[in-house]
Amino acid sequence: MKFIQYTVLFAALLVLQIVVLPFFAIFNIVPDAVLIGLIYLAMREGGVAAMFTALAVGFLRDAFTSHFLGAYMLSYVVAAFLAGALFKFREKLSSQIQMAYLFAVLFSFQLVYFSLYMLDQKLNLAQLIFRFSLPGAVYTLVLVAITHFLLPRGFWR
Amino acid sequence: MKELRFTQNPFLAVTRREYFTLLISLAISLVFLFSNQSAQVERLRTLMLGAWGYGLKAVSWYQSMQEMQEELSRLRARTTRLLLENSQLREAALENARLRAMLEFKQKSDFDLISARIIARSAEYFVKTLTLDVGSDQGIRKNMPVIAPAGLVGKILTVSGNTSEAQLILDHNFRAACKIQRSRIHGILVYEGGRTCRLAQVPKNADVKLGDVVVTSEISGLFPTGIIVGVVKKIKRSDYSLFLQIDVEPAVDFDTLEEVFVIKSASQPIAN
Repeated sequence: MKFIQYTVLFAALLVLQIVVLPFFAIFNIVPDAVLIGLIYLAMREGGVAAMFTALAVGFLRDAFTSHFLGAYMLSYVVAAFLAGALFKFREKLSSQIQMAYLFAVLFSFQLVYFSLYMLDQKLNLAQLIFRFSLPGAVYTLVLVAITHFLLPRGFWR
Repeated sequence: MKELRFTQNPFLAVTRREYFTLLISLAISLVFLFSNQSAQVERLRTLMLGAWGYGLKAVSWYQSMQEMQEELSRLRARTTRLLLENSQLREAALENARLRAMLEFKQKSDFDLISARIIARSAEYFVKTLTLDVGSDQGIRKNMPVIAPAGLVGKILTVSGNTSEAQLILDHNFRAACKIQRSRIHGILVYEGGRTCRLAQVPKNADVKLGDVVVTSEISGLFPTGIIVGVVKKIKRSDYSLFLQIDVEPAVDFDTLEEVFVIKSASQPIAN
């Protein structure tokens, strides 16, 4: 039952990500709804489930949208692992620490993805961080905040 | 305790299963990544090959260092062995030269000689003796003269079956009748001290010069005539003495002496 629920959730998130969210791009920066779903899964079901889901969802997203098969897979897997590790005992963490960990996961995802994607372009580390990774992470964090306020209280628990 | 550790480093709480899943997932992702033919992947391949190359270089460097260390140890051991061998060969060469000289001396000598090797030296101040590896079994008897190619060494003091003890001319109790080879002046050889002997009982007006050779005298009942004892090193005339004080430097270097001859019998005296 859970499997079907999550399959439906991620299918919906993929459609949202591929079809809807590009319309909300700011300077070509698009927030990542699939990543939010993966963090949610890691919090609820743990790192292993999140990583396998990341592999599948990443593959689909690569297949549909990217010319660079494997980039999203790898980035999502890294993010899912970090989320699984950092939020393992989240009830013992203060909300500030949780927020910092969340941002770390979002930023890591963006950094890995853009590092792979921009490999053939002469970008330095500062450009990679400040022009691509950081704005993407911030924008996704905003989307998390919006989701947090829209969803019923205790959804993340 | 576990919670405290978790707050310090959350990755301590990650299970092996999670790490294993991460590795598998990363491997699958990388397989897909490398299936691309894009410029990014080419670059990634180049980077990974570069990193792999550095890794191999480091391993190779470490291995070569290990090999060099082993080679160094081997070479050190070999050098030590060779040095030892070299030292032994030098020693053999020196011994060979010494024995050749002694053999030559024995062949040329008119005496019936018994060659002997020095096996011990007395370290006492007043008693200066050598222990020889020949004894009564080899025909050695008490009071037989002991010589070296350079000159007189001493006489046999005690004898046992296979060893004997020779009293040196540097012993305080040693006496021998000697003479100046050039002027035929007679005297008695006694030990003076240090590395010097004295030719005593030589009259004050005797014809003695520095560098004169001192040999054994026919007056001596023990030693054959004409065996070189040493050379006159110093002559002192005193107004208060009837005799000259003649210092004689022994012809034999006792410090480096290793083999000697014992005179079994003298067929005829050495020509002066």
